[in-house]
Amino acid sequence: MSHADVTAKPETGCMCWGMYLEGCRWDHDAHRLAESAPKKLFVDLPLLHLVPEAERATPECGIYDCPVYKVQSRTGTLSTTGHSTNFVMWLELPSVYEQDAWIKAGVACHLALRY
Amino acid sequence: MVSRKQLKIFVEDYAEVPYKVLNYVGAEVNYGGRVTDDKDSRLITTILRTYVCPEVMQDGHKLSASGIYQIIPPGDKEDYLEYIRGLPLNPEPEAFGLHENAEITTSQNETVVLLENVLAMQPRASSGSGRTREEIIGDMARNLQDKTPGTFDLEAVSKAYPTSYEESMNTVLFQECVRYNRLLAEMARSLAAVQKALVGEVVMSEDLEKMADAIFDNQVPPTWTATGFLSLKPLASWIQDCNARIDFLREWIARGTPSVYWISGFFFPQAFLTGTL
Repeated sequence: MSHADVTAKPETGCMCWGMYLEGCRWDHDAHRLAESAPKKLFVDLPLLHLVPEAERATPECGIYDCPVYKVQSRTGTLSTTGHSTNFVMWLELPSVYEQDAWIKAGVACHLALRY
Repeated sequence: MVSRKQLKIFVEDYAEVPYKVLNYVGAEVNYGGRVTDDKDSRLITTILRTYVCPEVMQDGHKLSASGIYQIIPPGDKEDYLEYIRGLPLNPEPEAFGLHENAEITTSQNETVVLLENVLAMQPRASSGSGRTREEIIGDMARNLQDKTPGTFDLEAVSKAYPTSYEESMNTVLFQECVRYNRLLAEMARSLAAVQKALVGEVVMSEDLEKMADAIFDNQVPPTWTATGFLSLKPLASWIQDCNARIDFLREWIARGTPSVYWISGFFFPQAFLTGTL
């Protein structure tokens, strides 16, 4: 399903799209992260449905805490509001591997690429 | 140094080797104090965990997938030197826990830096034949001016999408419009100014000079970067991106709150996320 197929607003939360995944690949069948395919540096992250939930407990395993940045440089300065100029948020992506593997591979999401 | 001293203390004072403590002290205390980014410190913790764990006491324990890097059986100095000499000169990305694709990224980045340097060394004087540099920049500036969208009518936006408790997205939209307006106004002002300066109607200031150079080199002018959204794109794709972002907001204003958001279209996505969550 792509962003163009969405016709109605979800009841809670919101749908958004436009992220690129670096350092790994999205397995569309299993709905989780997988090793990159050769020569594919960036892949589109599928449509996201963000649902707010009060006092949610963070899952201990089965996820990778993926940082989301605006651009690929991955550096930013903190502004007075406490937000980074580049870092946007943490995104919990489902994965069967340990987090360590993805952390070492430097997996991250970007909102915009270099070109 | 400090970590080595601590290692000695811990090994001598405890019956079992406290790997967990060693990890914490090494990553969070000794190195962590200098690292300001929480993502970096997470990486350090993870990397250290591969080397400081009970398994490193076993011979042949593999530190990387291919097994080139492994724990070798104890021997004398020559044996260790021999092993180190056998390591590859140009290590594969796996030595750092990365996928082979990482090598492509590194090469690409190197290429970009190299080409940027070459570009910076291009002669600035115009050559004898054909169009002059000034003419080319003038044409490009005119072209950009045509592509620059008009500013948003803030009053109309705030009337149609007033700040309300029920719809937090209205505030997000209004603030985004204010941010983009600032950029669009700067683009319109500087583009008009640079064209005048090129034909000599106004004085060519340092800012305008830099801007002309940037346009000629297909780079985003510095004053736009300062007021604009964070981007690494060259000017040609930057202006396309800018137009796509403005269109996204215009669509929103014209057709009401969208059912699916293009998160890359926001100047400040954090505000959007605060608005939704």
